[in-house]
Amino acid sequence: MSEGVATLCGMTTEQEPALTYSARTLAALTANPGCARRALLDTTGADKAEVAGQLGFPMPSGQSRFAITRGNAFEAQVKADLLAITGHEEGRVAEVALRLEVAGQVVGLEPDALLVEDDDLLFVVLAKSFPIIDGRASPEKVSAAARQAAVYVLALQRMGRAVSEEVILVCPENFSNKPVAAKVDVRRQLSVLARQLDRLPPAEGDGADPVAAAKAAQARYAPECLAACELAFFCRDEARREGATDAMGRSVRDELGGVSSVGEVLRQAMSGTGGGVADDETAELLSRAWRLRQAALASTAGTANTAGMAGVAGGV
Amino acid sequence: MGILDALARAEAAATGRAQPIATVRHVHLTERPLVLVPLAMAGEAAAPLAVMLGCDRERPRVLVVPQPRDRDLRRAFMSELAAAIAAELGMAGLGAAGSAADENAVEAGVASRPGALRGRVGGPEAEGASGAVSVGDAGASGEAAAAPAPGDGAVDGFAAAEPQLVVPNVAGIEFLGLLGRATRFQEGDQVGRWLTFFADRAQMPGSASLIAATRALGLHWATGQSAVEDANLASLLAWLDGGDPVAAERQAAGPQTDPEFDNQVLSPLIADYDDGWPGAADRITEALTGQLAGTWQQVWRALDAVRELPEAPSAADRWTWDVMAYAGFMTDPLPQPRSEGPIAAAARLDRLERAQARYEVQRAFDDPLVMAGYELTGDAFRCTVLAVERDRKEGRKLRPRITVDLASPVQKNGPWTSPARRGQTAELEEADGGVAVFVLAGGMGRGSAPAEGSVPEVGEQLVYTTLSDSFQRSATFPEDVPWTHGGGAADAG
Ligand code: SF4
Repeated sequence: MSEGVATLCGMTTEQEPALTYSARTLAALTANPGCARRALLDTTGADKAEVAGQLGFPMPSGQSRFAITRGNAFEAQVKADLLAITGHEEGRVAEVALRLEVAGQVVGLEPDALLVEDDDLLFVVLAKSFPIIDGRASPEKVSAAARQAAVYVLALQRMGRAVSEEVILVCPENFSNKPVAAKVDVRRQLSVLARQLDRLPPAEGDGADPVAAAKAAQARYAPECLAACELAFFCRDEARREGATDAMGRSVRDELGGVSSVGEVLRQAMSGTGGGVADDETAELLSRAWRLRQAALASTAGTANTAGMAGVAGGV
Repeated sequence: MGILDALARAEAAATGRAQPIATVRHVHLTERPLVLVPLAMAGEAAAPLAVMLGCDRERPRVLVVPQPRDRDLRRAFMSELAAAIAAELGMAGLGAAGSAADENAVEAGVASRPGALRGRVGGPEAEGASGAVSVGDAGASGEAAAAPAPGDGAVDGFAAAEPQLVVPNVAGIEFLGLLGRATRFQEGDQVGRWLTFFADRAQMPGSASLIAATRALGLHWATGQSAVEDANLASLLAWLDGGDPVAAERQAAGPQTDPEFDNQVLSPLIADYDDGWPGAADRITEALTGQLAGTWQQVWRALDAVRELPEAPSAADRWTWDVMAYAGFMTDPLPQPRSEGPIAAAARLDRLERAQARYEVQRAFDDPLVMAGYELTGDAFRCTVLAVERDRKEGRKLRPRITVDLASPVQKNGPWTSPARRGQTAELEEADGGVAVFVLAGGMGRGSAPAEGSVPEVGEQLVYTTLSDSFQRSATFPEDVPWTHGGGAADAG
């Protein structure tokens, strides 16, 4: 279905872009801007799911058929009555073939968003099938939608169109199928997106084997990747093998004084020195924490929680 | 997450095994918790697919909705759920919407579908991985029919004074809340309000009324993975039991079913059911039971692991509050509005924040490993008593003085409290190198001399902390009655 629409509205005077992205991909691309691996794959248009499979870490199967059916039905319902639902009875439904410059090349955007034009101003409308219950929706889902919508708004802005920075989110209300519209201000997401898009290095490595290229490129894994990037299982495995503290979450790494590897954390904790390579203050703190922890465990040893302790001495 | 917990994560990552971050059990467990493993249909707001529930791990009940989009079937499910909960907890009955007035209509509606819902399984893995179900235990529906007519305000007819609910994960708590919200405004509903009470109660820090197994484990052990992965029960247990956390991750613990299962198995079966194929409902029940069985065992395994730890003293006190809150709900339920006004919201937030603060203090008082985190920041220190002036007075007041040997310098101003004598404060009089003198007040009984054991002895090892669990006292909110065991340890000892 989306292909049909794409051909319909893609017929403009401009040349067809070589790559087409979904707004979700682009939003995710900016979610981890420091990752060279992801930037490389995205800017060359490699199929990341395919690459992940070839690397031996396929992502688990996508969406449930029930969710897809429900999502499609809801979107069709919204489309059929778009102007009334969004409160723009005087406006008209607009279609624009969206393009955006990413890493020095113009790419097309999959038309997942709906557009309403009212008084010469465009409004981006996203139909999502998660519910708004008693005026509240899942914050994670709303912010994911906002990030996605910001991609459309930015593309329109950079194409020189007048577009509202408040997007319209349409969701089912409570436990019914009745669509309800909510405005979402995406200015913050827009500025983050604009800044991070502009920082992307220009695309290179065209024609190279994407699997080899992916392996060679520097990653910057964090647990957030699990929800955002097809390569997450591969990168997580790599990070865990390296003993990266990042794999346990940035907040854990921060608590550990920013020390990047588990082995180094434990070495400093046990020795109390930075060993000439790291700062002694961090090492001192880690080692005090380590001693306090051991003392507390020792004070209750035999009476309490000692499961898993057996391996400690050998493993470090 | 403090440094100590982060270090424990690093240790876990290095050793491949979960590491303790608590030495006592900070959550009360009843003798017979009611375990609920719910499954929901993907893409719907609150469409239950199935639930496995029971107080007996060998005899779970399974309720199934063969077509979750059918509102009548959903209503029948809620009625079955109400009956099953009531039966498990030995309550006279919880009404579900429509279960009284149009009981017959709903029952007939269910019965007209081929072999709809209910069944009792003889242990999930009794019949192999597919978990064959012996449908036909009419107990559930019989109990539903026996449910008394619902009253209009209170949830009536209860015999279970202290129910405790356990679900696999936080998403399970949220789902019970959604189920409650979806049904509690329906005519005659009680089970929706009952579930809403538990989902709301689960927001209260330290409450054990509705527990997520993942949270209960995460409170006592650190894994070498991130909080994102810790939301998966199977993976958490693999760290604890020496399994492969990555392989375990593939097991979905609900309420969302595995998309692949939806697409390959469930979707065709539901289509068969819609087409009226005989036996389709049984096959749906069988397939869903297979999905539920593993998680069912994991929840019980998690409870076993947590139960092995000795219970922290304050956990029992918090449970008393849970029991009182439940009794209050059963006799005189507060309204459960769709959304609360700003004042109610602020009051609730305030209550939660105080409960959080009190909960953190209680855990530190109960657990040296938690207290160690406060030692690191200077909010607690360890010492050994060198000398005691036991009967010292200031005027007519008992003010014993102790001299202690400090393991680390005193960094903050008091007053200081020791978990060993919670009703007693110590003020620093002077410190000189590794030795300090403290003056004690309170918690020594009413006599002219300190009660037996109420003053530290020479040679005793003590922890003193700036934390106090009687702080921020306020009588405004029922949740906020100050902790009443001050001095209990001393008086008892
Ligand atoms: S999963 Fe890997 S490639 Fe993807 S953003 Fe994270 S680190 Fe980069």
